[in-house]
Amino acid sequence: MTNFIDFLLGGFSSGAVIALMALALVMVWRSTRMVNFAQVGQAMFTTYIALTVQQSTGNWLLALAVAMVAGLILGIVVFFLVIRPVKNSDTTGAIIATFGVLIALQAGAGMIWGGDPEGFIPPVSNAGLEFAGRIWPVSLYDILVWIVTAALVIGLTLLFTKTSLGLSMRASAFNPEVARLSGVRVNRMLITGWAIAGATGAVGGVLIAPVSTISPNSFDILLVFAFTAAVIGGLDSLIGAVTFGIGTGLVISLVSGYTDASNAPVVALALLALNLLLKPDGVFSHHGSRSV
Amino acid sequence: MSLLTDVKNMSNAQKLRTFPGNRIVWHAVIVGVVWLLLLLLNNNIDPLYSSYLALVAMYATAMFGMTILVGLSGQVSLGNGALMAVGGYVFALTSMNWQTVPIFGWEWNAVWSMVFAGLGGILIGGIVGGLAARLKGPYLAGLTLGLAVGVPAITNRFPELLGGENGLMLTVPYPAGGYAASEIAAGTESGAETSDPNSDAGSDTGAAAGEDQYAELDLSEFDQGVDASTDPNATLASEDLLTEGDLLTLDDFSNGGDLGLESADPVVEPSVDPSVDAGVDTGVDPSGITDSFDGGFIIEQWQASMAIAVACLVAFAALNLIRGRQGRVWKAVRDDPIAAAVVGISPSGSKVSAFVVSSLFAALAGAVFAQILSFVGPGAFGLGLSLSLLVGIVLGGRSSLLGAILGALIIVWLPELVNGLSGERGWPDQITNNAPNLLYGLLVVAVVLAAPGGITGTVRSWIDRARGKSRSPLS
Amino acid sequence: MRFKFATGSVALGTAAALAFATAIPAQAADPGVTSNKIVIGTTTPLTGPAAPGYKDIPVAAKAYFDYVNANGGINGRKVDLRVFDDQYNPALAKKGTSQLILRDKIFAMYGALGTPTHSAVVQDLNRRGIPDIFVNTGGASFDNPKKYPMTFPYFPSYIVESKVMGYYMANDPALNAKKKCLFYQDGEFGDNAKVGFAAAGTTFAATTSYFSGQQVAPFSAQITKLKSAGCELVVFFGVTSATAQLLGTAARSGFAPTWMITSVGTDPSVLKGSLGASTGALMKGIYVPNFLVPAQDVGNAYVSQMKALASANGLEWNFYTYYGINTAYVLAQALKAAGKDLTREGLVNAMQTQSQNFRSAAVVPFIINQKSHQGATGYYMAQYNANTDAERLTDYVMVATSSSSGTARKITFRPAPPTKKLLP
Repeated sequence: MTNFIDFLLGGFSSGAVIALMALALVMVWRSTRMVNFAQVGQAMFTTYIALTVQQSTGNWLLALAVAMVAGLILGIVVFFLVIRPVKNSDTTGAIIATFGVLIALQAGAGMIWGGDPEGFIPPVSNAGLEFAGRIWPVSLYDILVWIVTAALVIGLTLLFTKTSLGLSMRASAFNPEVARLSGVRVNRMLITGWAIAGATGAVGGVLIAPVSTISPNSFDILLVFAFTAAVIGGLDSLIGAVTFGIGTGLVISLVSGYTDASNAPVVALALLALNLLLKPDGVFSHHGSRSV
Repeated sequence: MSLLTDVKNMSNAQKLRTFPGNRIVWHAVIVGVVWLLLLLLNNNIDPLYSSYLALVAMYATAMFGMTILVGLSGQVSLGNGALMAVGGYVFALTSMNWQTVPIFGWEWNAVWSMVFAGLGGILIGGIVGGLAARLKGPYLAGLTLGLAVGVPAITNRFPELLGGENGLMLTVPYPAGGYAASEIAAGTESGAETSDPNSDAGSDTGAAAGEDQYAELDLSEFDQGVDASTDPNATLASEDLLTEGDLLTLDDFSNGGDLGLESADPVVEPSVDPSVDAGVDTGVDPSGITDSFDGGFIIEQWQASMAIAVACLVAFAALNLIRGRQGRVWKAVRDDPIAAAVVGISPSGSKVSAFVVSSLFAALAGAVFAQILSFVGPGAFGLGLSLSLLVGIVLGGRSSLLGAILGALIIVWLPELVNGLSGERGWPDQITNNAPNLLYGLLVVAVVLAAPGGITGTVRSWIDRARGKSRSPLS
Repeated sequence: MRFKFATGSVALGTAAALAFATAIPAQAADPGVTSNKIVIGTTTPLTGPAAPGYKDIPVAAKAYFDYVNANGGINGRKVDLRVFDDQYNPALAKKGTSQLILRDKIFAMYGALGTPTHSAVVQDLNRRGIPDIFVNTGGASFDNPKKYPMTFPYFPSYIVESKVMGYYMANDPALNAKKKCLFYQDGEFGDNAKVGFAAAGTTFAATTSYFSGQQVAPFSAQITKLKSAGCELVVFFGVTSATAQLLGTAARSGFAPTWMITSVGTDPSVLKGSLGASTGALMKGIYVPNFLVPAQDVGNAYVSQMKALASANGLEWNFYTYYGINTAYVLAQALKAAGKDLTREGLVNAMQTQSQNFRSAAVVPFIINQKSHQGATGYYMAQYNANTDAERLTDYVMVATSSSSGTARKITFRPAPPTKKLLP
């Protein structure tokens, strides 16, 4: 039984990491109706920037802030240089373009920082907490990650539902023509969405780095899991992304713990297929799709 | 683009169907001429270019399926590399395990393995297509991405059958007159005589060790410490004992590493035991190991002609499908599924059929790939392969077979281009190693932006513009 | 349709067979050798997830060959090493090898990395009779002179390594009394380790695994499993980035068993990057098999000279640099031993008959002959200290074969000193 609880807690922590990246993917989807495969590349790049800041100043908060600003800027740059020119006309082209950006970012990071993995020192202890006479697989740092993840979900949800900026962003993404006619500056909204997504991904990267390592390819597998979680959650839903991000972490943990880790990717694929079979638009999707 | 024109086109297609022979013959002539030209080309180029030609034909085979799936049917797929893996593994398993079983009198079982690979592709394509027909845009991308990552991972789950991470090596069953790897192995076995100084008195039990080739190796000779035959000191001459001045130190590099020994004695006498040159049998049969194999068999040419054959047959099938009724059905569903349903076309049926056809083509390409590599493994069929197929079809032009062929050329040639552009320039390794990838990524972005319809789409829109028509480059 | 396809391909077979009739004239000398040059090639990951560490090997080998070239070359010939980045992808390895053979016209392959990548080219290399020297993998399948007469592995297989680990644990009373557990990466590592430990008669109280890529998140589930099974000695077979995650996750869970880790999974320079300041504390006490003179042993004539060569070229002195220079040094000796009239057959001949004369930093005997291309036969046991140096524990070495049966055995072995100025 304690094993089960440990598997759950460990899975919860790994899942939070997946959830953070899934959040950024959902942000891009909500603001531009696109999937940004370069998201993990952007996060990797800004995390390297944060690492450089932390190594030279030793200040974690400053590193996080710099990463967020860098993520914001990188989001805007990618939007202007790549997304806006292909947008609207063609989603497959956009997917390819974002993959091109991903490859270029990874190569760029390899050029600047080298290919060897580097560690990132956490701001609070990453040692398991002692409670009721034993050590649990949860650290202060994990709790920090949970809090930031929760804060991000709540903050972004409020932004979308309670502010006029959020409303304009949703309108621009949902139907740019109508939004434009209603006086929304659509382009500005799309840029804002990409910028916020970039910053969200940057926070995710900085939070993931201490429990992982950072190298040009270290977040690759996260893209797959985060994208899976976002798709199952419905791509539109922040809470869905977080729920299924954590769910993916739990599944991997339980499968690795009770059976063999080699089962985990297969189980994840089966669950993805099953989910899409039952709910083709994702579990947390609100609006029904046009069916034929 | 409107439903009306589609329906009108369909009735045109119906008219054409009255004389199906004409169209099929015409297509056969086109494909046959291209096939002959390619074979001529293949026989007159350097084997290196034949190896590229084999890869281009293999990618083109898979890409014809992408034309139908992505271009005509409008479904995005990040997972066609996984469907190639299905074909590759079916080919490997059937050709390895049923090597000597003739089917309907046909013994050259590579053909049968290809048939089985195709059937495997149809089966998996049907299952995935059934799921995919319900999905749109990013959800379909999600499922196919899961496929691209999950299918290779399955091999790790069944290492006994599928070889795990290390994959399966297969001896490609070359046609009669060709060259089998097993022949060389057989040739060398006879040479492995008992001239081995370390072997136990000539007991050659090689045949019995078929299951475990290490079993005959006996390390007990080391038990008494180091015996004369393996003690390196026993063979050391006195000048080999080093003194301080014989050691290489940092000081030696003050002259760029040149110790000044060269001019004194440019050609060092080889310290080879003369008995070695006098023909100690090393177990290697030199007759089997020259660059051109027996009968002038050039493996790259064989691989290319095999890949070209499959590509041409698939192109013939694709041509007939695309320019027939089915092609119009796919386009109609892509452009307006509701309207298509109104005129009696099943949108999901159309989507599934596109998936099945593209999966069949991918599986055949995978079987060709398995023969080119003489190996199948998860690393060869990873996400990178799936993505390069998508990159190829988008850059080449997604709604014509010519675009697929250009895409295949791009997949093979673009890495060469970027490697050439970023070759030796004396940059630090960190820069040099990553430069090709950086260039590749940027070029992909640049081409998507500069030519949104791919090469064929863009060229066609230029032509249309010149003729004064306007047309979306994507259609 | 299906039937048509089948007959079509058979028809092609005939057409293709006709096309083969043009024969290529036999070449007088082997490709890749001129009076003043030897071209050799390698495929290895320089970019991508598998690149860390391994990308340093060809650079180090090049540095050694440059040094040899500056001092007269090998029998008057300069060595030209061509490197192809295969990103650990078998399809790219195939393409790269074809280029090396057909465009660069290499004389021999050297140090091609990885079991899956090399599996896609090994048959072709042997068919063409191209020497395939020092394949860089612990997979045992390439040691098979009957099937692959041209292919020569260098370091001992993972099966040999697990046999050695099993032997050492069984013969060290303190270790043998501990409750032993196994943790491996799915795939080659796990498959080979299980074979080796079964042969060695080692039994484990618990066994767990991870999938490649899983190390991006903590190994919480696996550590929980090992911890609750009461494991006191954990044997780990995985890559270095996973070792970093393993040590980190175990430390935060308060799990501190005795670790025994595969030699390819403990590179301190990579671990230091990941684990930072706590690296020394976390690595102290880890048992690791090794077959080269300890890299920090600068009193040794091999280490001091190779380290001098590395620093003269501005290379970091780590396991990969050391390994690259060492195998290049052995290859140079083999090329020299093959004689002035260098042929592929002569090189293979020299490898199989004179390997006992080749000097290297390896402190175990080598078996390279007509019957076996095993290469290094075993390991000594080492243990990391707080300075992240692996100190040699055993003055003996343990040797084994890659057979699925038989245990390791203990021998004493004294290696020969290096040649003058580390020149072949």
